[in-house]
Amino acid sequence: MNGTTSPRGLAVGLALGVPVMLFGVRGVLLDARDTHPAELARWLVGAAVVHDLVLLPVVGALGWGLRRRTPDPAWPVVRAGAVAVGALALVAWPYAAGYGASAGNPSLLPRDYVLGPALAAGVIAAVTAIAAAATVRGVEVDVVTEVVIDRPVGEVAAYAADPTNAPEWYDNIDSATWASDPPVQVGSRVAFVARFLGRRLAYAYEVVDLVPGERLVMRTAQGPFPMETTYTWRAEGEGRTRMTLRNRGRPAGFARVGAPMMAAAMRRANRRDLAKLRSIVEEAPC
Amino acid sequence: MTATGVPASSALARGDAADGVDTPRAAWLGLALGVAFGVCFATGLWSHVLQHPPSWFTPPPRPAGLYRVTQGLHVATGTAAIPLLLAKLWVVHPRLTAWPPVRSALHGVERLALLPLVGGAVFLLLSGVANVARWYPWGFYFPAAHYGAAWITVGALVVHIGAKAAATRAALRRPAPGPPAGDRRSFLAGAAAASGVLVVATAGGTVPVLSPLSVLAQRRPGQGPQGLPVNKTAAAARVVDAARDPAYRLVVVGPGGERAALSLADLRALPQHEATLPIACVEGWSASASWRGVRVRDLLARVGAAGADVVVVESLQRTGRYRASDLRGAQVRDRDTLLALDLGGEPLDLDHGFPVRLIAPGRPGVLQTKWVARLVAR
Repeated sequence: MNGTTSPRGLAVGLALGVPVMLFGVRGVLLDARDTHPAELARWLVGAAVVHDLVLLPVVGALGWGLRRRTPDPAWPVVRAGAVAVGALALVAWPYAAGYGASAGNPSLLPRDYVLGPALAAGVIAAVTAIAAAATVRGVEVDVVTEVVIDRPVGEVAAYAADPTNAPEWYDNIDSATWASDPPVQVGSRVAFVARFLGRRLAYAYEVVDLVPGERLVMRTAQGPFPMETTYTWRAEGEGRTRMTLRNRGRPAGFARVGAPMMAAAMRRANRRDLAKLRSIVEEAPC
Repeated sequence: MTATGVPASSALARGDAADGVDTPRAAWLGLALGVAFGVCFATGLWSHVLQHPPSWFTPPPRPAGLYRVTQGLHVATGTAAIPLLLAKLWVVHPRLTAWPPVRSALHGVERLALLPLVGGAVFLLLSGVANVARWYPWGFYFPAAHYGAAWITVGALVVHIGAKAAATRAALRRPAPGPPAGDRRSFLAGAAAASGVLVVATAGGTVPVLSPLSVLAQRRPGQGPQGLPVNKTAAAARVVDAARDPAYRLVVVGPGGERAALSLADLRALPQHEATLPIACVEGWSASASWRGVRVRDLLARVGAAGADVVVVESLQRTGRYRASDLRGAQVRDRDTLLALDLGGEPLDLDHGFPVRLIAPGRPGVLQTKWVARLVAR
């Protein structure tokens, strides 16, 4: 037994399945003129043997060669494309070889069975290559935006570092709720509800680094992908502040394919949010 | 399992990643293959009993388009199963070389049942694809061998499902250790995508909207004489001269030996009826067409056989497995069971069965006998 076989289930399977198999064998023997039992038996055994000893090693060797040339993040896409092209080639083979062509019946097998499958394989390969390239490029989303605000560092940092202000200056964030006790400190947790690319997202951030008036780093393991958000503040001349907002994350699985689009949307949103932050802080009475 | 000192339930729960096989992958593919082979077996049995009805079964003529659906499904699910089967065998291949090859009597039995399962499943898909491509690299008769192999394979599948049902349920219920779930999902999604590619590449012969993409379709909708594909030509059936002979008569024979012989002009003088019915080939393609001709039941009435329960429809063909077919029960009496003279408003093309052919609802194309010479009521 290997670890996934149930002896009792096997017994039930044998009790039900063996009579079915014997019925099949009986039918083959009774219809021997048409079924050629000895030849059919050779085909049944041969199908398993050829699969295991020819197809399996060939696919393994091709897959191994392809795997070595493919960067890790692109492998799921490349593997899927290769399987599709391989399956298409297997089925296309008897058509392309022209075994069934019939000169007297032009409606049978009317296509060009070399050109058609070759074009289809080319299209699949091209789509795979584009998706794989996007996957590799988009493996890390890292968007940095900044703004210069006409207020002192302490004032800007105090406002931006308070997570409960986030719904005011982040266009996408609908609400922010303390999941730990205020004020903000390393280890603070905040639950956000946001909208991004048409989806409603609920996720929790945790503050992992805080130097008041200098930087704040928080992380989430939820949302579309794990994300780290960093704010930095630096004095820029007399009474002015340069604030940077950095969002960094690694999309998982097939979300990678959409990463470049996601980064562009994020950059637009962050620029807008920082402009909003500036207008709020600059207009605040002090 | 108990033999290795591990309680069965925990062995099932943790999967069996230790031997290099990711059990959830094998389980999902097994489930999909079970559904695909189940559909293939059911639709294949349907096709078989329509062509070889047992004494207790009268093939129903309605719904008229049922066979084009069941047989289209048969070929499409078989095609879809190709990448799924190859993916499944790939996932479990580390067990092929497991050592020792047989660990107990039960393990030996289980492994023995894998030979007809794997050999049968690969053979069924291979022979199905070859048949649609009209490639016959063997001496046996394809339908008989495919049918016999199907029972053997399904029996072996039942054994396998029995052995693996508990593990499959466990693996589908909770994530097992092993490769990250993301890789598992993308592997399964890749296999499913390949299935989709193959179905689109082959289904255009029966789903016309897919035809431009169906680079491996055996037929192109609308291509053929009178806009309808042909399976066997008159030349291939060696009936060209007999069909064109002006002395052609359709002979109708009643159960008591009453005979009627009708010329083409006689047939045209009888009441004509129209029916829109599909030609649905066992090879998966199908096409609907508008037929006009004489009702079989009207012809039988001329020899006092209006109530006949079995009618043999014989072709001008001298030989061939499909030179004759039976109509039974409701098929005989159906108002759309015609000996057609016209297709799409014109006399039948020679390759479509001129001077007259049988066209009846719900039948496989090979039973729509062409170049009809005799109707014999029993």
